[in-house]
Parts: sequence; C-alpha cells; structure tokens
Amino acid sequence: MLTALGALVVRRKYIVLATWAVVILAALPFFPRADEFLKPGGFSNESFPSVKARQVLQERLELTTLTVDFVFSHPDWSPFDPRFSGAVDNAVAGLIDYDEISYVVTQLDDPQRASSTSNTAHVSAGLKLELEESLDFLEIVTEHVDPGPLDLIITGGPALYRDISLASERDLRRGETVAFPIATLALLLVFGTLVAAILPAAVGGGGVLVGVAIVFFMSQGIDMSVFALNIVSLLGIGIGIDYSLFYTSRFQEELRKGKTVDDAVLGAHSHAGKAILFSAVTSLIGLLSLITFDVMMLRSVGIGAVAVISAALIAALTLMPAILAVLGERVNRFRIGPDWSRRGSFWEPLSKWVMKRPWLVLIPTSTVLILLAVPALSMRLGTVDATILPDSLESRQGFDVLREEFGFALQTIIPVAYTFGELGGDLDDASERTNPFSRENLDRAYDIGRELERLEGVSAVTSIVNLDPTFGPDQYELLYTHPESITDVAAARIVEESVRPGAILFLVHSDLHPFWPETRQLVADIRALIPPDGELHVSGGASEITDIINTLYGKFPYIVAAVLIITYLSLMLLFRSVILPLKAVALNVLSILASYGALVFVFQQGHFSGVLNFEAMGVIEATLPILLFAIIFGLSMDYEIFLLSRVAEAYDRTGDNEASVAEGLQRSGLIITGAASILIVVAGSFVLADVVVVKAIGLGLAIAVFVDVTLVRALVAPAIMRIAGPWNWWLPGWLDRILPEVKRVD
Amino acid sequence: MSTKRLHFGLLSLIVVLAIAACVKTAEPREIPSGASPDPTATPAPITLPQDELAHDSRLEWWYHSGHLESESGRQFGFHFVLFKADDGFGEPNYVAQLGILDVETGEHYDLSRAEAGTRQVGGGAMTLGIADWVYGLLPIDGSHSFAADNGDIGLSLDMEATTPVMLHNEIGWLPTEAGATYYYSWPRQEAVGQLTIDGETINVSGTSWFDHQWGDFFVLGKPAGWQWFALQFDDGGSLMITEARGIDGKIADTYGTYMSSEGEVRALTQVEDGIELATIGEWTSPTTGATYPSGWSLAIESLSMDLIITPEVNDQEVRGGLPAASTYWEGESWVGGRQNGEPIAGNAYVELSGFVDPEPIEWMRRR
Repeated sequence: MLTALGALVVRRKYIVLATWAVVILAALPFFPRADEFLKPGGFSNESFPSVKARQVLQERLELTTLTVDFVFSHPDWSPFDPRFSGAVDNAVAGLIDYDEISYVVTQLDDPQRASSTSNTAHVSAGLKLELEESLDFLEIVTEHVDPGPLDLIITGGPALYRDISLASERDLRRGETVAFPIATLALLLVFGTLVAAILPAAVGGGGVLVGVAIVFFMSQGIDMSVFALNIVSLLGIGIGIDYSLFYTSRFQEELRKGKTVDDAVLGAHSHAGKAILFSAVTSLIGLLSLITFDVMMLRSVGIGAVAVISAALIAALTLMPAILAVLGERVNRFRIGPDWSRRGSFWEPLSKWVMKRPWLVLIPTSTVLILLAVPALSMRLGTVDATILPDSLESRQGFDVLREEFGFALQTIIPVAYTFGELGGDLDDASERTNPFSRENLDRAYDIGRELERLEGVSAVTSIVNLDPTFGPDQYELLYTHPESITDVAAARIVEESVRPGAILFLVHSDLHPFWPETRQLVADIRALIPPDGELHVSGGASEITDIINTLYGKFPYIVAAVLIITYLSLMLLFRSVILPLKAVALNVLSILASYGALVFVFQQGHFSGVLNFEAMGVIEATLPILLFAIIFGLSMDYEIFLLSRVAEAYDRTGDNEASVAEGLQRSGLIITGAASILIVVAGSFVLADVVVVKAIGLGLAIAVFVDVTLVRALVAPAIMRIAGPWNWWLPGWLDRILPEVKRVD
Repeated sequence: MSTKRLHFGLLSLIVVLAIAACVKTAEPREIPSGASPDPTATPAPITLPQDELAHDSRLEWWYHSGHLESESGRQFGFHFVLFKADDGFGEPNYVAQLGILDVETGEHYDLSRAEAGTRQVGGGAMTLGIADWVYGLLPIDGSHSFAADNGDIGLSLDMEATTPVMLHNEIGWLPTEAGATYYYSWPRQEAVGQLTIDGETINVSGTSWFDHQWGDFFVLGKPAGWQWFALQFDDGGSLMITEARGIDGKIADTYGTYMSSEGEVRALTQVEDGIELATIGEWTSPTTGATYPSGWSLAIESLSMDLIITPEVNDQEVRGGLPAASTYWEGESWVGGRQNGEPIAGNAYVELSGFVDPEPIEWMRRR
C-alpha cells in the first residue's frame, strides 16, 4: 500500500505539489491568528471536587475568587498616612459602581493589607466575571484607576492571564526565529548541499503551518490551552525535519546506487517511508494518550501534537516524494559542505569498538544513565503560579510584592464551605434550619472548626466559631445574638464575609507551601471529614492541585503501561523479535527518566537558575512529566526505528548480528545525529522562553534527546545487541505463526 | 547485570515515581460532636511596669483622658486612646484616636490614625508608630507620652503618675460575658505638653487619667455597652464607676474602684456598696442620630457620696477610625455633690458606649 502510494505520488507529482501549495496557502492566513481562541492555563476540570467546591463558594457564600489587585506604594508615606489613604480613595473611587465589580477592599477596610515597612498597600477589586471575560474589563479598570502621587502596579488573575498569553506567544515567535535558521544550518552540515538542506526545513515548516491551522480551527470548537501552540511548534519542527531528513537521505542513497529518479523515490518510500510511518504511529500512540486525560492543557497539547504529527507524516509521504521526483539529481546541487556519504562515519568504528567490549561499555553507561535519573526519585509535583512569568512583566512584579510583603502564595489557605439545610431558592432564605447563628448550627460548626484545628499541618482556622480558643458554643450563641454589634474589626469582617444562610466558611491556614505534597495530604485529611449534618466542600488552590495530580497520576501508570505494551507489540510486529522491542522500550524509558532527573535537578532544585534565568519553584509542574513522557517516547522511538530498521535490513541480507548492527549504525547514525542535533537546537531554543514551563519542556526534551542519541543509541544499544547476540532476532515459532506478516523490506 | 534485571529495575523506577506522586488517601471519619473550648487561663497577678507594655491578647487599649490648661488659663479636655486588636492571625492592628474639647468655644475635635503591625519607632520600652502619630511607654510605672496631630489640630503630652496604681476588682482582672479582661488605672497623672488648635501651638499642663485593659474578650455594640466615669476629686480622691449592659441591653453589672487621697484602694460593687446610677438628661447626636444619656446622679452608700455629673459640652461624640458599632461618646465633664455631708467637686471624664445603632451586615440587610 505504501509502495502504491509512492507510485501514485510520483505519477501525479504536479497535482500533489499543487494540492499542497493550495493547502499551505489556505493555512497561511491562520498562522498569525493561531492563539486567538486558545486559553491560558487549562490545568483544571469542572468535574473536580475542588472546582465544584469553588462553585459552592460562589453560589452559597457569594465569594468571588477572581480579583484585580492593585499594589500602591510611596517612597515616604506610610499606607495609613492620610495623604496615602486619600490618594488610594481617589484612585479607586467609583470602581464599586461598575456592575462587574462585587467589592473593593482597601488597607483601611483591612489593615493587614498595608505594609508600613515598604509603604505599600494592597487593594483588591472582586470581579463578578469569568477569567476569560475579564481581559477587556481589565483595560477599563486600568484606565479608571489614577494613582496620583502613588506608584501603582496592577496584578491579579486577569493581568496574569493576559501576561501568560502574551509571554507564551512571544516565546513561540522567539523559538521559531532562533530555531529555523539554526536548524537549516544543521541540515546544511548533514547534507552538504543547499537544496537538500532546505527541503526538510520546507517540508517540516509546511507540516507546522498546517498543524497550527488545524489547532486554530479546533480551538474554536474545543477548549484548548495556549501551551498547545508551543508544543505544536516544537514538535512539528522537530519531527517534520526528522521525517524529511530520513526520507531525503534515503533518496540520495538510492540515487547513489544508480537508480532512476522515480525508482529512487520509490525505494526511499518503501524503506524510509515505512520507518517514518511506524515511527509516526508510535509517536501518535504516545501522544494520543494525552487526549484521554480530563485536563484541558494535556488534552489540547495531545490534540495539537496529533494534528502536527499527522500533518508531518502526510507531508513526508506525499509532499516529499513529489518534490524529490521533480528535483531528481538537482537535490545534490549547490554543495557547500562535506559529503559525509563518501567520508564514512565514526558510527561504524564506534559500534565495532563497543561490541568488542559490551559489558565494559554497558555497565558504566547504564550507571551514568541511572545516576542521571536518580534526582527524579525526589521529584515533588506541584503546579504553577505567577513565578512561571519573567519578573520583567508588571503582573509578576505585583505578585512578587504581594508575596514578599503580604505572604501571598507562601502560606496555604484552604477554604472549606460547610453547607446545611435546603435553601428555599436563594440567599434570602431565612428558615431556622438554614440560620447560621442558630444554636444547633453553631454547635455543629463549632465541632467542625475544632476538628479542623486539630489536623496535622493546620496553623489556624478562621471562621465565626474559631474567633477565640477559649470560647465555646455558649459564648458564640451570645456573640451572635446581635452579630452586627460585634465591634472587633477582624471578627466583624468574618461575620460579613464568611457566613450566609445555609453556609459557613472555614479558612484553614497552614504554614505548608501550597505546592507541597504535605499540603495535598492536608486536603485529603479535610475531605475525609464527615460533618454531623450537611456537607463540607474543600476549595482553593491546594485543593485544585490535589485534584489535578490525583487525576493525572491516578491514570498515568496505566497509560505508561498501555503505551509500553502497544509500542512493544508494534515493534515486535515490525522486527519479528521478542528481545529487540523490549530493549527499545527499556532504553526509551531510560532516556525519559534521565530527562526527569535533569528537570528535578534544574527546575525543582534550582541548579543553573541564574544561567537559565528562572526562579526555582521547588516542584515540577505536574503535567510536565506526562508531557515529556509522551513527546520523548515518541521521538526516541523515531530514532530507535530508524536505527533498527537499518539493522534489520542488513540482518535480513547477511544473517550476521554484529555486522548488521555495525552497518545499521553506520547507515542511520549520521541521520539520527543530524535529526537529534536539530531537535536539540529547536527544543533548546525554548530555554530562552519567558514562561518557565515552556523553558522546562524545551530543556527536558533537549536533554532527553541528547542522552538518547549519545549514551543510549551510540553506546548502550549496540552493547546490548552484542550481548543478546542471536537472541536479538528470536521469535518463538508459535508467535511467528500467529503474528501478521509485515515485510521489513519491500 | 542481565538485561532483564535492567528492564525490571527501570520499570520499577517509573512505577515508584508514579506512586510517589500520589498522596495517600485518608479514611473517611465522622466529626465527633460536643467539642469543648480551651480552659480560660487563671488570671496572673499584674506586674508593673512590665504589664504597661503590649500583651499577646485579642484586644488591648491604653487610654488617657484629662483636663488641660494653657499658660493663659484656657481650659481644654482631651482623650487619647490606642486600641490594639488581633487580626485573627496573631498580628495586631492599631487604631489611635484623639479627642480635644475647647471648653471656651465648646468646639470638639476628633482625629484618628490606623496601623497594621507593630512598628517600633523610638528607643523607649514601647514606642509605636501609628501612621504619623507616636505613642510611647517608658519602663517606669505610669510614665507615658504621645504625639498626635493632623497639622491644624494636635496634642503632644508627657504624663507621669502621681498616685499608686488602681487595680480594679481588687486584682485587676474582670470576667465578662464576652471574655475576661485585665484592667488597671493610674487615676492621676501630671500631664505637660503642647496643644495645637487651628494651627496655633500653645503650652498646656494638667491632670489626666490612664486606663489599661487587655485580654481575650469582645466588645459588643448596642444593645450591649457601658457607661464609664472617671472622677478626680479636688480633695485628691479618685473614683471609677462602670455600669455594663449585657447583650440583652439590660444592666449586667455596676462596679467601681475608689482611691482615697491617701492612696488607699477599695473595690466597689453594686450590691455591697449600694451604687445607684441614674440618668438625668439626654442628648441626641445630629451626626449619628444616637441618643446618649447626658447628666447623671451617682450615689454610693458605702462612701456616703451623692454626686451629680454634668457634661461640659453635649457634642463630644467620637466617630473616627472605627466601625459604626464602636462609635462612642467620650466627654469632659464636671462633678459636684457631697460626701459625708461635706461638699465635694472635681473633674470628670465620661465614656458612653453602645448607644449608636450598628450598621446592618450587608447580606442580612438584603434578607
């Protein structure tokens, strides 16, 4: 079928080229608009208990968690200086009149919002909007608020949302700007001729263009994360170039054998085309696994990646043969670099050297790989906050001030809503059953409040029944006979904000960092509590992180197992061997673990944070290991298939294990090195990204590919193949009979 | 190492990673009912001057009120108070208020400042910055100072106690229905300083009264509240009387402390000492609409006292810096009457709390 497709493309090459020209021209206008419908974040899911709890908080307690945060400061005036507070009053005057704003709270309403050490005040405006709707309104608010003599930084959800979108897009453009020229340069080095070098870049670029256009259209119907664009760009360029490179080099090899142009294309199509097809299928298996996650970010990255790999595959199997059929010998025009095919590569002597002393190579290199992977054992999973943004952005600067001056994001606050009684319709319900100040409800709330205080990791609980540890239900009943008469500012605020008919809010404070696993344990402990009547709803960032990680890593082991098994079986089908696929799968896992180790070493522990210009978060963003697993598994499987297909081709011809390993390495080594170098450059260019998550994906990928192509592919793989000897090609007879036949060589 | 073992090792590693990522789930459990509060601590004896300083308590205040006279004989009343309230997380919020009465013109001024967190601004034992105001305590019994102004109006005073300390309820500790409070006074302090009225600064001196209260207790607004009287008699004697109303608005307790001119302190209770307090007039604030008692008769049987207390000026309401429920009347007054049949007179300061209707809670107002 593949051969038939090749023949068809060769026969109808101009139609194929014209079709592609139309497709690329049609996709072109959508490229700059790619992010129009993409959403930032996307780590959460509406079915999460934490998200439902957030809705309960909004509906039952009128709590809005989305705020525009203003950080006012003055070099000399304290926040309670009448000149300072007067300027703040002027700046925010009239904000409350907007329908979109539910409250405005200043340092005069809540003195803890003032820092006299830095003459800073934190003012918040609560929004009645969803995050997506808040961007336009942010512009209105920004224009409305005139700080007068004060300095002003605006941060909060909408500003961070806007800046993450802008920074991600900027990262993408920067990545492309850097990656394309360097990748072309690397291609020039590999091919030595200008035409051959431009081809993969052109075909890879075409694939990315089409992939991005697909993302543009899909994002209008399905919620997709802006991170999808980064992955499409990164993966599309890398894989597109891989496929084209492999295809073009095989075409050149076929030409060198003296074949006609059409036969050379067909030869490349049947050998390289099949390897590319299998490689793409394997990559798609890995990436399709992302679509099964109930997390928008992973799902949309999966969809984007599947789109771009499919586009790259179709481009490699149709556009590439059509172009080569037209170009013919002209593919070798404009030589400006060395002709590696005539020089012989270091891969053959290297593989022979390795195979002479396989144990001596295997033991130390395996040890090095395992050592690289060791930091992964201390991996702490968490999620992102504003620190993923560069500190040059205003929203990040505001976040930093709030963190340093007011302890934002350093301590954890877990909002727990206790709901009881059925509301008649809305919050106007005034039945005794839903009266939060009735003795019965105060008793129950008191029991909950005291129990929450006793949980490990809790530093304080604030609620209407946790005002003072020496107060019991009798005193609270007395206090709430006339709740409006409480003169204590802090207590009065709690009564105003954290109680409604049928609902009482507990804020569980912990000195544990919101990202720490111990905090997730605390969330689990709170969720395990069964109140005497009614329900507890655990909300907040720590709770959402708990849900995200539970969702991701509840499924992850099964997905890993499924991907490994499917990959193993498809490779067994391709190579008709039991051992080779096992080796392939194991080595890929090793590459991934090494990249996990590097991620922990760099992004969690903060090594090289100065050089790479980021702030260590102490955790690894929870989706990263899964993303990297999917991408790296697909990519390193490319190299494995490229290598093994050449080894198997030689083994089929010679029946000599050692010689075929040497030949396979010699014939595919240069291509693998070239493809990997390009990918390392492309992925590595994302280290320049402003958004730390994008930076981490780039570095993780670059390290994994580097390890894969040096230690794994060049040293460990030949050593194992030498040790395994004839067992490499062993397939039990019964298995041979039941396995469908897929010819290795056409 | 065999390849199989290597494979097994690698697969184990990834499984361990995946498991380590998950948090162990907690077993569901019912919340037990009948939780009890922490026991209230046994009151500690008041130790001075250490107890002059700030305490780790929910609520605390240092309160000065007094009578000043300029070198030209112009009369003023003043009160300065620094409130410290826990923000619920062990951090203090401060509010300072200054009230000045120009007796000659009847004009009453009140200013306020707020501060979050303790900001030490000087070298004294406790010298706090409350925005641009300063309040200071020295490690000497009954030695205080403050400086508060807003440019046109201001007062800075240094005060030294001239009597022994007055511990209320004998040990300086009072249980209430909304928590317990430590409470002592320096009933007479000599005050010297500068007062600014309409931008003009003049030297003043006089006598002030100092109260210090702290504890884990709540102050409740209307219908709860109190009437508080600090009387400084011309014979050198001093009297504090408090009539406290409970959350039901009824009088919960009337008590007091008397210090004779010789410095002898005697705790007074309504039952044992026959305290009779009655209102003889009213005044309605045009600003808040609250109606306050205005003029009182006070009889204390055990002291053979029959007194009339009269406000110098009606409008001495203090509104700045606190929620509406905390608005109170704090006024320069004078006292006259008889003790043991002999005429007796002096200066008085009166505080009336819990007379202003609190603002309804927003969500309750909607119901």
